[in-house]
Amino acid sequence: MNVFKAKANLAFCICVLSLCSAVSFANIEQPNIIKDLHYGEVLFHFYQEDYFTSIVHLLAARDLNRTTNHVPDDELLLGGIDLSYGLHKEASRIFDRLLQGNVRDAIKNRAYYYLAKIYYQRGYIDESADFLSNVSGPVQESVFGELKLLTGQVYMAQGKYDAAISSLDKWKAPKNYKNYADYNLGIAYTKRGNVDKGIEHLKKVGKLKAKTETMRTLRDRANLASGLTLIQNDRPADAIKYLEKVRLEGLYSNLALLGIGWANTNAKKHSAALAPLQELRNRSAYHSEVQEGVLALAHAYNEMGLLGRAVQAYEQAADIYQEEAKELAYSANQIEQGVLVDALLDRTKGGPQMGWFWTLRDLPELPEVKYFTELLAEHEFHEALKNFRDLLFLKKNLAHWDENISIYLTMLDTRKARYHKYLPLVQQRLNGLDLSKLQAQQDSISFVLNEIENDNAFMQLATAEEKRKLAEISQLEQRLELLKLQEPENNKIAQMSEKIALMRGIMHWQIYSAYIERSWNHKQEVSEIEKHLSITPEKSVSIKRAITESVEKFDEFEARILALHKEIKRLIPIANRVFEEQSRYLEHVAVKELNHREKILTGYEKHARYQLASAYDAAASSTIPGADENNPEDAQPEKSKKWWKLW
Amino acid sequence: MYKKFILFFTCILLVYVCSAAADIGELNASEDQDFQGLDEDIQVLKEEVLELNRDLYILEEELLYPSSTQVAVYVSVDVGDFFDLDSVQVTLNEKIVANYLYTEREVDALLRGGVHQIYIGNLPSGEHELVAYFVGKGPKGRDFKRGANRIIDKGLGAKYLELKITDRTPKHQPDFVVKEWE
Repeated sequence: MNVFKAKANLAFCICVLSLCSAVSFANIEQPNIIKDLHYGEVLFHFYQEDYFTSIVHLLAARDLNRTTNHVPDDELLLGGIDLSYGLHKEASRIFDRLLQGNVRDAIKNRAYYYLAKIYYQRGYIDESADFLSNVSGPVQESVFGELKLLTGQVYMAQGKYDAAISSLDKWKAPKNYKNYADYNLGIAYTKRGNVDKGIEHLKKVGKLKAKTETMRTLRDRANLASGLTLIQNDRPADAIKYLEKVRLEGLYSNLALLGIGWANTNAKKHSAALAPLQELRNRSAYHSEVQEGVLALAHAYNEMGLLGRAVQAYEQAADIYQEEAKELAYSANQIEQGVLVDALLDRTKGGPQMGWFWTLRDLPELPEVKYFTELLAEHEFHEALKNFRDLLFLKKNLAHWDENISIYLTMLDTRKARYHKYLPLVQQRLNGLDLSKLQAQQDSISFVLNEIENDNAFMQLATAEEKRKLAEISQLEQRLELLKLQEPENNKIAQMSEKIALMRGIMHWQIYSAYIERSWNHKQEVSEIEKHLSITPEKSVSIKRAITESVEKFDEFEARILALHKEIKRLIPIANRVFEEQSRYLEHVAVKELNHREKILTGYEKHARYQLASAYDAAASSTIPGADENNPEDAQPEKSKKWWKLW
Repeated sequence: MYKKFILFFTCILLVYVCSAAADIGELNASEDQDFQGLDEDIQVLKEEVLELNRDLYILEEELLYPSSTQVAVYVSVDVGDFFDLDSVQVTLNEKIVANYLYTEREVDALLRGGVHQIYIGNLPSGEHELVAYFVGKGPKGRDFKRGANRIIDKGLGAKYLELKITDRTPKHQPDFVVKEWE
């Protein structure tokens, strides 16, 4: 097996393993029918991957018995969110507790699934398989697809490819799982040795019309897996067809380019290997594929007999490795000086990135930290950075509460002051409250209203204004009567009397017209009074209770606020310490990775120099090197010209 | 020649990679020990801060919105084939108390069964009028604005209201309902 085959094998394994992380717990649908609003509110945050808020709200809702209609789903959900938030120990405890309880099979199956997932992700494959074997009976539809995929992955991780094939092949996967199922099935078949059948499944994924980046990446991965498999099976010409379908800008482009280079080399088509390897050479030398590609390019020239070019390429490779190793050492040194942590803290000051939604993909490039993007692709660094982000959020959360909790004490003081200010007035009113007197008044009003209705005494409901006008009319009538006695023949007085009589009639008509509405309104008001009077005893009891309980409540709130502030004060130094340690750990992981790359590069450089010496020897024992190299691009750079002068 | 080269290349590469890896392995084994227990510390701290935030959340609610006066309004979406939600406005007794513009991510969470608390506040016991306006895209992508109202009777306990957006399949129209929860 050559180097590339070894690498292909490794990449092949990565292709299998990395699929399981494509689906997060937030993708698992919870019960559709919401029986408690607060449970639904938790889901709202959970589905947005705001795990911190969803856990806080769920813990509070459970404490306040607001999710009783979702027991034990609420506990299962809590375990799932804990997992998403990296609390795998707490999640394990929750699922274990659930399984020991008397819960229905569907809940148990979900718990077993989650536990299997935790153990699988942490590399405990056999334990994961044990949990999966406990799944029996009905499984929630939304979990079923995840369960099937995980089962296939666990079988494959155990090397049980027949079992994986049997499990996945019989499954009629729904649309959203079909591509993942086909991909895994393809891998299982190829690992089992049935390459053509495996390629058949991978081909389906490799052809899919992807609308999202996730699907485009999956398509690339399928084509890459097909290509690598075919190289392993000495079918380089077929491999190239698949590798060429991998996007040039995607995650897997480096490996695909290297694959095309090596496939052509294996097929002795060295000139065809040049283009992909030259493209690879122009990329960041941090990536191992690029590093290998530079050597492979020199090797291709060597194989083509273009010794001059080979020497030049080996020289270039050695220089690149040397330069890159220096850069790596410099970057590692910079990171040790705290540049990485400082840059991260600087980028996350204020703005939306400050909150929970600061995701790693949103993180801007850090020009002060070289290879940052490359480091992000490393699992250990990625995990360390996630914890760094979480701790930064916790620190800010604690600082926020430390600063703001005193507002609650101020609020409490204001309430106390209001309480003492209004207490005498309230007590005075309560003491003066004579319910029987009020009831008697209300009875009397009701009686009068009934009397008016029975007697049709609409004038009783005249307004004050109407009564005033009627009184004025009466006065005018009296004065006119007196004038009539003095001047009985005066026509004007008679006309005036008629007008006044008309005005009285209009007033009566108005009052009569409004009577029904007024009567109804009065009855409504009496009914309102009745309603208020009926709840007054209850309210007065509740007010009296509130008066006595308020002081106790004020004291209780104050004690709670002070206790919580004490807890905040206790946690702040712990958070600071853990954050500092995590920062050092983040730096350590980064430096470790960079040092590792530097050592590899140093090795590559030595090898390139050795090959360079060998090429010199070969050239010395042959005719003038590169005499038949008629490629116009073969202009020798400054360094190589020095080599030519040696001859 | 070719095979010899490949073999040689493999050997050299493996020697360098292995020696480098061994060096790093030794180095890391001792350095990694310094960080043992860090994961445990992080998990414990996360749990403690979560519990603290839970207590603060409950305290805040009890202080600011005591159950005797608490009114909370929630928005939910069922199916959503005939209506793409953009925003919701809530008025209580003719006063605007909430105006919320939904992001794509939030609408997705609603469609999957999440319920959004759009408003929490205080009201005295008695009758109050709630009016909600829903703005979005209706059938065939047309601009759509609808209202729903309800007279609510606030008692002595907390009052929860759900603004439900559902699909009325026979009429190919969305439906907006205000539901009271106890």
